[in-house]
Amino acid sequence: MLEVVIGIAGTAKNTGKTTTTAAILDELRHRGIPILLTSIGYDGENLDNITGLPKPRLKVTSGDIIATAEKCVATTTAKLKILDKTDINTPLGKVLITQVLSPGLIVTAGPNKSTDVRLLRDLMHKNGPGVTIFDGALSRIAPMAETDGIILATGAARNTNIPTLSIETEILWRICSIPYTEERSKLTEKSIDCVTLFDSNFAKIASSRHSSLLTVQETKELFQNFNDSEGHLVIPGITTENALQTLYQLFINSKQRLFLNFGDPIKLLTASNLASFYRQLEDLSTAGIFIGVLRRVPLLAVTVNPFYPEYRFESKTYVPNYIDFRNLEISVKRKIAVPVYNVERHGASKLVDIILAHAYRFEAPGTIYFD
Amino acid sequence: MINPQHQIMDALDVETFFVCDNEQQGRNLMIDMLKSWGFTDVDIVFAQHVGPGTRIRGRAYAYRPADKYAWLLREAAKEAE
Amino acid sequence: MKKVVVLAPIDPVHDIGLKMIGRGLVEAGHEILLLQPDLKPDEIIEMIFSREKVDILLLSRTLGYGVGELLARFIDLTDAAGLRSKIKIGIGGMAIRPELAAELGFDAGFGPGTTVEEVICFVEGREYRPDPFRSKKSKIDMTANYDYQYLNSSIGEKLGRISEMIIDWAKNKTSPGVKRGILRDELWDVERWRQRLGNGDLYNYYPELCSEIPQKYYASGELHPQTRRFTIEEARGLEKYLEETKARMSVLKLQHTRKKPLVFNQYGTGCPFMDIGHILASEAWGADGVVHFDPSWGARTEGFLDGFLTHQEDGTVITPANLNRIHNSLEKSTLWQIRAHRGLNTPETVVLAGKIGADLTKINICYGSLGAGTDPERMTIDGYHSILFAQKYNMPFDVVTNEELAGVPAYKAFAGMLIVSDLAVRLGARPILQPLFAYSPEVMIHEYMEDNFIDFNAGKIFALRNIINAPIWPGAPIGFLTHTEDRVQSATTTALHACLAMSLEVDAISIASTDEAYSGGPISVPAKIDTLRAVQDSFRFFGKAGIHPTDQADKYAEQIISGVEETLENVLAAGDFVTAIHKGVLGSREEGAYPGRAGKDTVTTK
Repeated sequence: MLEVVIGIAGTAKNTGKTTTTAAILDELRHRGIPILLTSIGYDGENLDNITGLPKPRLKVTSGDIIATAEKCVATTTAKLKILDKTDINTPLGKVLITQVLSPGLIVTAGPNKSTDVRLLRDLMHKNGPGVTIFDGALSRIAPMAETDGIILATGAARNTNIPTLSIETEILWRICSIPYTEERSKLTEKSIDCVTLFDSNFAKIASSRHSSLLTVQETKELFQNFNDSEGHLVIPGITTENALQTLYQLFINSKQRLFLNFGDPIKLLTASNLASFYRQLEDLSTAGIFIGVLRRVPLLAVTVNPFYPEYRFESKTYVPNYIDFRNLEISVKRKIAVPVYNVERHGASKLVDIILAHAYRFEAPGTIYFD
Repeated sequence: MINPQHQIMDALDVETFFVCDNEQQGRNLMIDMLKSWGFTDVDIVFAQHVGPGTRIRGRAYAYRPADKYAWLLREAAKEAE
Repeated sequence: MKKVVVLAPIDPVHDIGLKMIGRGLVEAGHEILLLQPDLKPDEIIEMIFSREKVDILLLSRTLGYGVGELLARFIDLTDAAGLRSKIKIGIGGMAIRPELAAELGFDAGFGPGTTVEEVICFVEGREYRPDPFRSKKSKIDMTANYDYQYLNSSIGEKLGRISEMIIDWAKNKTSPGVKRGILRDELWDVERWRQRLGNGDLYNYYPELCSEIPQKYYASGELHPQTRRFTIEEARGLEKYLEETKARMSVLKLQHTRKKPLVFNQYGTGCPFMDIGHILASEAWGADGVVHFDPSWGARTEGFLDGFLTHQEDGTVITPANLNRIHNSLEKSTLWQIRAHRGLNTPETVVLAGKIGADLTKINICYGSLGAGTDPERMTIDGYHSILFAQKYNMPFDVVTNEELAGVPAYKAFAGMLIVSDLAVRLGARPILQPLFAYSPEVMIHEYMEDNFIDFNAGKIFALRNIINAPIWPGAPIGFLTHTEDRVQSATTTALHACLAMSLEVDAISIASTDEAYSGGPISVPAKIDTLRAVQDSFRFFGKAGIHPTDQADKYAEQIISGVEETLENVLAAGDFVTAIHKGVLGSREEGAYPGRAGKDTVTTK
């Protein structure tokens, strides 16, 4: 009786996200593991030109639990039983939790805000153990923060330059690999909403009015009265290169140490220039700043797809093209320490092994444990 | 897969300018073109030949009144599922 | 409730649209903060954080390049920063489609053409509509402000005498058409019928008053050769189609800063389903009202068929079921006119229209007799009772003057129209005058429009206004005989005639499609939209400005008024209205008007 909530994110269209999701679903079904499927928003790339609604693409079978918007329930070819109507709004209607009665194709349109993803995750939990999959929408990463781990689909459609693609993937992986902060429990029990600075005994020194640390000014103000040897700074939201730069300058010539704690790694992935943001983050260690997260969202695996649509100027059309797969695979593998697959070649068996390795014991709602 | 022609409410109009010698040629070109696209119920709504060619508007009826419109029956088919 | 709104252009320059929206929000009592252009996303978030309280963030983006990715990242950033669940975020600008905004997770998307009011609606938390381009409207009674008083007392007095003559003549007379009208009025309960509780006793008496085709139908169920019944799949499909279309549809307003004229177009493809498709498109593109056209054979047949029928000819068969389906598909604000003006079913058409819920009908005894092939005697008694029914069912009706198209001079057609209107007012009904805006045979022969199309049409309106204080609805359609098969020409001439009507401050107009002059097939839906769009832009162009006729218009008006008076004298001199029609007083054979023969010798004395 295990459960786990997985997000599947694509870095661009045609990176094989749908193929990856479908392969994982097949493999889970093959092993008899219950499936709970939904998505973060929906992919407008796949709209039916006539109805204006997303086209059903994922195969579902009897027993699967699907959360999708009302209008998508209308377009499915599967027979569904509606279990619950949530209060989560989407442009395609409220999200319904349904059970598949007979197989067919479906499109999922789920919540697009983190808070709603959290809400849906909890609602889906009530339907029993199994693997919950949040299929990602293009270019939306922030709501993935509410999953237990993500699988990233990337490839030539994102960038045909193999070294560039490898480095980008590496940075994503490194950010997702930021470890738990050492004194995590002491900080998480405080449920911190705003940027807050604590001293070495976890007493509050200063805090800002909101969750994110953005400006030089704010950063300096936080540390105005900081004179302990060690501090713990919690940033539940986002930060900027400017703020990180300011921290660096504050600590580079100081003996003081700082533990810099982010809410989760996904928040960092929203930086506008990820490469320079990460360089800035790395530099902090030379100033005696230790980086950690309060909640981990690990990158479980990367799937790579050598396919890309190539634009031909002569014919003004896109033609299918491929970059060298071995080269791509090896290059990405060399950079990151999580498995790299192509589901079309390797299947999803290993991917599912990895997903299940991250699963934990299902606690039915209302279960009470006696120690 | 929806056939786009089935979603035409009633008629497809094609307006263009044919380089040709006279109006009759222009009319023939339009009719031939519409037929080559697979339409059978075709006509010329308007043609005007001046100097360099024919300004023309051809029409292909996807449906005539009292036909069975796929854009309507598609909805019924969905309902029946 | 006052809201704090941050407006942020994510472009190198300020978007004028955003500034206009900002001004509108301030006028509506909200507090705004207009940010400088081209801030980075995290700088915008910084500005929001720096304020005590922000309720709404409105972004604008005019450049299309890379817009999807940029906006997705922006939304991601607000989500990660914890703002997404605290403030509403909308996006607008030239590069924005509402669907894109929805897909990216914005609370609203405003495309080109968005009005300031729509954005205020969003800010104030009124429901977001995916297509923010349309506005609400309501039904208007164009007869409301008219008292039908005569400004020309001499004409008024003559009309009064003619009406008395007709009322006296009609006293003891009836016809199969009148009897069917009375049956439909007395025996048919529309609410019971709608609940599928049948037609009561109606069909025990009805078939014997019908001619062959309806009789056969009521005896054996046999249909007119060109009609067929709908299948159950088609009927279900219609319901689903309507449900889905209505869910995303609202109606456009064509009038700019003036309130008048209302704009009508016609439908009547033969098929009620196709009609509904056309009506929805017309409503969405701004028609204020739609006019039901029935097939010409319907006017020459005694009695109606029943059932839900489609038909391949021009004109949609009148049956209770067909009208009811169409009625159910109309937007609440749409005025619905069912023509009854000609033919052997005129009284019953008015009753059916009234019972099913039409707003307007169309009756003219003179046109029905002289231009539409119905026997004058029959048309007079049927018309008389039709007016009584129109009064009973509270439906104003227009009085057409289409006999002008055959060659009858305007003043004669007007005399006929005024006779019917006067009779109507005396019977308690509310007529609407319908002069033609047309390049009519009379005009061609006398070269009244040699210089312009304005003066003679304007002269007609001036003449009517000098005679009586009554609503005027030029038609039908305006610009008759000026249209060609050229789409651009056709839309232009319709738009210009519409502007003339607008400038003359008439109450309504009926407009043609750009297929008006094309006779090779049914009118297509894009052709209808062509002229609605053309009229909308022309109204926008003129606003409260107008078109100025020359002095010639007044001369034409005087000429028409004296012609009307002379014609009325001739009617009185004939001693009997029906005789006057036969004599050609209201339009002669030489002028192209032929008294009709349908229903000849069917008028009986009670």
